[in-house]
Amino acid sequence: MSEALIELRNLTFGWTRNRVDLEIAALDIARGERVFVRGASGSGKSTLLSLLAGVNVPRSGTLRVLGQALGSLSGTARDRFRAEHIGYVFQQFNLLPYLSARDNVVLGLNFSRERATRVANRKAMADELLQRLGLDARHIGALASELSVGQQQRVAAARALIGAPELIIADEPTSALDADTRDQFLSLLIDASTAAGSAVLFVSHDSGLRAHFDTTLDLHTLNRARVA
Amino acid sequence: MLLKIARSSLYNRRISALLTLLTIAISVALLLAVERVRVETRNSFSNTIAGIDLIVGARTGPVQLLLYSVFRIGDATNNIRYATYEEIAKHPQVAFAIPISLGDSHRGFRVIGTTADYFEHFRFGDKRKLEFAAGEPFADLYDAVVGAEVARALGYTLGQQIVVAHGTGRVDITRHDDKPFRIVGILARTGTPVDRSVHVSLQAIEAIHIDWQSGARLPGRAVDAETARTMDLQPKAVTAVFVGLKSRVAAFSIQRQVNDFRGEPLLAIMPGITLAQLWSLIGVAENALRLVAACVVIAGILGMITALVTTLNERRREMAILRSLGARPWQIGLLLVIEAAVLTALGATVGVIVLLLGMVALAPWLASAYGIFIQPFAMGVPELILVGAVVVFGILAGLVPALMAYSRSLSDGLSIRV
Repeated sequence: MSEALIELRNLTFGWTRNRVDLEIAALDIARGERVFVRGASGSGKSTLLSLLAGVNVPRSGTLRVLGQALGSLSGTARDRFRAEHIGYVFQQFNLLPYLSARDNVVLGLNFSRERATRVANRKAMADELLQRLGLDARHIGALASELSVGQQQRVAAARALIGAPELIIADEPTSALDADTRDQFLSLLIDASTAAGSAVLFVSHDSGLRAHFDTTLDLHTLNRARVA
Repeated sequence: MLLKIARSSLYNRRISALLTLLTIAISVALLLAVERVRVETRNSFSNTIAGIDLIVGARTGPVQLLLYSVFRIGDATNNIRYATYEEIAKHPQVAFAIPISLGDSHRGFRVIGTTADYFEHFRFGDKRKLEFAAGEPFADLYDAVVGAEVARALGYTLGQQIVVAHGTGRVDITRHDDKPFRIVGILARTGTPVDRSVHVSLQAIEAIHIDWQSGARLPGRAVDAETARTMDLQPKAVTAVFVGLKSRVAAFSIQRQVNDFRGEPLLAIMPGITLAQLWSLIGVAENALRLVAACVVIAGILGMITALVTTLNERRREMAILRSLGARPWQIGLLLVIEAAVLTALGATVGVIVLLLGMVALAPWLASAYGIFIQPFAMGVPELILVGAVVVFGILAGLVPALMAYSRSLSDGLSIRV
């Protein structure tokens, strides 16, 4: 099995036919690597993430994740690929409000056979991850809608981590948190992903967080497409 | 898992889900109620008379003759001569002939003048004979036998005295109060108009009208009850005759003979055939009712679809989250179909329960006011098919929001739009 997690060459993508929103010559991420991607809004951040997650396919160039060229997969196959190999953490409001914290975490396994086989006891694993990420035991059974933003963020991270996917993509997951909570959350996330053996691709406009990561990429210099 | 998500999501929107469910429940209850009443009405009518091969009356419409003679609905326009009845009764093919004489009532219940043959030969339902819950047939001139519903509604017991009124209105205006009757028999419940009738002898009908002419009491010529006994009480006319034949094969030829009778204009009908004519008349109204009920169901399901479609916008985030976890667009669509299925299935179940409770509550009133006897727990395969059709329709309708959610989750991808 190749050591490369993400291998991207001469990639271009545009949301509409006569526009180029993203143009990247090369981007490599190794397994288990922790990468910080700095990018302000409008830098092509969302576009890059949608390509890495396999929601969209490149217009030209190649994008391989775990050696698999995503552009050659059908939509359904990409959905399955995402479910099996990628844990996704959103900026905020990313839980189903009517499920408990624990059920939200377990939900991550329901669409992924491989990740589910790595977890013997779903409930115990969910509780363990939640506690490792610093959620009080008494909040584990609470509805997601009753949790604070910080607590919701921990649940979202646990949901991405469960079943140890190869890649965790985090899209501005700390923008709603205050500075102290943010640093604490980040080190817990890094520790937990290290324990799971997952690579982390962390996207934020806040360069103060780069100290937590192995590598820092600046999307401004990486993306050669210039969008007004 | 999708089932759990659907359940939790619906619970999260429980007020609107509950209202949707109620709409469907009511529409299903209405649909089934129309069906139930339709079937029970037909059963009630069909069970009313059995073992009678011909009904003979004065010339009128066949359906009208059937309605007034058997179902006690409407009034006869003409009587037939008693001599004619005697002639029918002694016809070699005739096994029995029961004369009935209508036109009087007791507190809204019809009074029937007849003979002892009525209790001997009249059959209803599955060829069942009339049975006495108490007492016996009338023997004396002023004896009366009441139906089960009459006894129940008016609280009558054996030996009680009742007064018969002239005419068949709901309120007794002119009463034969000079010649009261004594209740000597109470019939067992039959579930037919017999329950709502008061039976006296033909001679009694003659006696109470002996000092009457053209529907009014003759002034200054009152005859008291005891004097009437001594007078000639030979009946002069009857309203209709129920005829039983020795062989049913002869029914058509006897019917023709009666219709061609030279003595006076007569009409003979076969109850089953005339009942079929009645159904084809009523069928139009029935179908209109069923159509309205079906439209209410369609409106209920459209309401559900509206409710599901309007929530799609606020649920875009939910869909995107599920997509980010690897849910396929078709699974998102399936989630909506499951919700529609759960709503219609629960709605239909609640509807059936509401209907059963309603029927249990209303059955006594329907029986006493309209003579329609409903068995609440007699729902069968047709009803199940109807409920099943509603659920299938609901699931199919659920494809509308499902396809919308499907195409949206394809175009939205993981971007969360609020």
